[in-house]
Amino acid sequence: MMTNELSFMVGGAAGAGIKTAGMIFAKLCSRAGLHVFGNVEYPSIIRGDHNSYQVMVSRKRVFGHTRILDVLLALDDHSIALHTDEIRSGGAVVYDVDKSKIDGIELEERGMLPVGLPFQSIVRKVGGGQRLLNTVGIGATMGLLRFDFDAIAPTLENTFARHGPDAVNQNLDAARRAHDAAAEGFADRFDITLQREDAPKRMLLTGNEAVALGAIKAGVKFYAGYPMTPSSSILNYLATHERECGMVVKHAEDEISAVGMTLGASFAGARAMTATSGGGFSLMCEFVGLAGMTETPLVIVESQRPGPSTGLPTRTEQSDLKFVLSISQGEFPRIVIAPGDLQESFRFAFDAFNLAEKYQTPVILLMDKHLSDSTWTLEPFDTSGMVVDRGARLEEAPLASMTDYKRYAFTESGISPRVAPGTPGGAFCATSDEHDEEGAICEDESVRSKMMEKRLRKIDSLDVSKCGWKLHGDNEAELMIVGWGSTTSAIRGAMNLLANGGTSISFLQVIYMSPFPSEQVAEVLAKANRVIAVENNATAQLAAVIRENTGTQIEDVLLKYSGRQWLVDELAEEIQRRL
Amino acid sequence: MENATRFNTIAKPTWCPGCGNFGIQSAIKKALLSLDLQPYEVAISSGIGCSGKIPHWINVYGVHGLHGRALPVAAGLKLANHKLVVIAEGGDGDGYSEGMGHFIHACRRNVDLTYIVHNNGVYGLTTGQVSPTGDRGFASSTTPHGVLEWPFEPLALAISAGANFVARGFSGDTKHLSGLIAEGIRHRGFSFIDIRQVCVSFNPAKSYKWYQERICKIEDEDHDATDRTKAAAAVLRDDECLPVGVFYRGSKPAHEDGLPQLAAGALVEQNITDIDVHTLMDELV
Repeated sequence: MMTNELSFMVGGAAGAGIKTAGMIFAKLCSRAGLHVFGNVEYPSIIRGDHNSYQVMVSRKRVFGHTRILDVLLALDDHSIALHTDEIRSGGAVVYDVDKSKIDGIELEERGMLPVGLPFQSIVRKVGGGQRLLNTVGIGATMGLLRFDFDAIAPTLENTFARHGPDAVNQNLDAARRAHDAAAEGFADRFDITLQREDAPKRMLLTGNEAVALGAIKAGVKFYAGYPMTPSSSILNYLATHERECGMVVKHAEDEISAVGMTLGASFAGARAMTATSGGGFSLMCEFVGLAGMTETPLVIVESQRPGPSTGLPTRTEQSDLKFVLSISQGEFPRIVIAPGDLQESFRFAFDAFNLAEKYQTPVILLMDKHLSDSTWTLEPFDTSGMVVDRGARLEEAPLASMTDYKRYAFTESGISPRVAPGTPGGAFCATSDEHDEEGAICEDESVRSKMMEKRLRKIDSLDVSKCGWKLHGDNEAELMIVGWGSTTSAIRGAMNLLANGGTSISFLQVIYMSPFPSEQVAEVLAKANRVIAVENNATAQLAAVIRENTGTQIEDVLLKYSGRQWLVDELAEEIQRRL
Repeated sequence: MENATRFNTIAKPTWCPGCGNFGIQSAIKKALLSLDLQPYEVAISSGIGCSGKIPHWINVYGVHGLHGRALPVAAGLKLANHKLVVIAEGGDGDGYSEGMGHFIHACRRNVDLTYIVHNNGVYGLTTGQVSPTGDRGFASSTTPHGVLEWPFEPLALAISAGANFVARGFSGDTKHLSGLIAEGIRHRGFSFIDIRQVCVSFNPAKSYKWYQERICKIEDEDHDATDRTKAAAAVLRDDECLPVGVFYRGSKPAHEDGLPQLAAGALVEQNITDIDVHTLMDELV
């Protein structure tokens, strides 16, 4: 009998409330003091086909999800066909015995526990419609897991409150009936239970929400964007909280306008941000160069998805690394940071604004669907010590005593104090043309060369020797994984799985891609016994970036480019095979 | 106000002698002076082309940015600091080729700014290709057999897309033009002024004489500038006269009027040193 360790999935057609069902299940577990990880899978379609939401539940922090399922809540038969191979021996399939054509005996013969309940008849008794089916399913699952109904009732009430008291009552009634039927009929044949744990209050949030919170904490006051999966929920979250946060959020006509407005707002002196995915970032390319040339702070979140072109709009990949590192014509510094989890998403979103304003460069936060759209439990962020630093800015007073303010003055650091429109004494013209110290268009060879050197040396003073990378585990381990971004979740999960089996591996997580922590990465790799790069792309882009920056060639690579993230057990098996 | 030369710069324009841009530059400075503005209160966001260089030669804050992209930058400037007087500016190649999409949405969006387009029928800085307002049949390096596309009427497009103030000017009449620009700046919402100008280098056929023979003033006629349909008819008129003046004055609220978060002050004036996100985090529990 296992308590509070579960891999649960709800599956059904798009439009059947799969995501809602999954989120409710996740919330019930989170409010019960358990750690949760939620992964949503859906095709680029509005109705039909197949959606699924998988929730991993544990009493310890959950990093990622497994292929193996303990419980499948199948809201249609198609889900059963798609996922039975993932259900472990003794695992349960919860389904609607009224509607399904599934043969329970066949499932039993394959080693599963068929939990068939009369969903339709429950819905009819309660006086509701088909929309209640997913609540019936959740109730049934909770009954199977012997989770006390009184513990879940308040969260159910809460979830349906906005639909009115009738909806709340119907949902509670439906859930209770299903819960009791499952508990009575099947619970004693199932080997997992869920119960409340004493734990501090935790948030349940996605990577995109963490980014939005970090940006709000940093003082972002202007956001412009264009909906593009998987970045859209940043736009939605900020639009919802726009007035509360005293900011302006614009859904622009296209990505070029979005990044243009963002740059204009930043130039005016407001902290501003935009977010998109690879296709939108392709459109924003020219403006990234404008930010580089005019030395205007610009924060962009690029949440990757599989390409090329439209690719797989709702799936995940980390294949834009080299693209982002080299974006836009010519040579100018940019800062690129790849968070690996929620905590880093929050922290680096905050840092991005300080960095953009201090170094007066574009800062790109590199995410992907797996990190942006997945849900984790997390204790509220510790915001102590998060200090806003606006870099070198001149106000009216110091300007008044300067006889010749030069916006692009040649300084030792390469960073020249900036001034916001509206400030007396500072009027100048920022230009996309090459320019002299005052900003006037200039084609002189000597000035051009000096201005190139000035811009390029700006991020020399950004020290990433400590913050640019992280070593998880013991560097004496027989194998070191090298990875970045959202694969952090599967890698750390795999590390735990392998450790349980007595194998210890370490994980070098690269965080800052530009500037790159070359010396430290080279050192760590040199000391490692054996190195394998694990990436979610087809051409091992991090391995290439490492080679470019350090000269170290990583020969062994584990690559997944099916448009899905690495799963914990899948990765652990692959690693085991290589040992 | 003192210092009538405050909008002058030491640097002088690199435009060709006789370029219509000089007249527009002069009219803008006159307009800003007439409104009692100070250099630091004004921001010009421009595109790329001969006209796009103008913010280098008017003493205000300038962003001489990307081809066709003056309008989004201008909107960001204005929404971040709505106390600024914001002008978006560029040529007809910049604004009507590359920037056409942004133009239409800027009219819809109605942010309180003024869009000035220098319209000479060609791309000057890249040596004379035909622009979207050039005549059908115009021969240029990219259209040696004569361009097949027809010119469009930007004022009609602005009216139908919802611009709140629509006017046409002529670079050769700086007194009239400066009045238009000042009124456009004063008029709340998106003000659009298309300014016909001579390009002495690449469109000499449309000379000052050519324009002076055709230009008439719409205010000399009995024109109702509060009526969109009449304004559209007036700009699509096809006769020997090329009217300049204000075709339409609308009264829609500006975009900013729908943003209560700006009531307390400009976004750039907010204190961002210690923002508390605990309430937001509690919502996620």
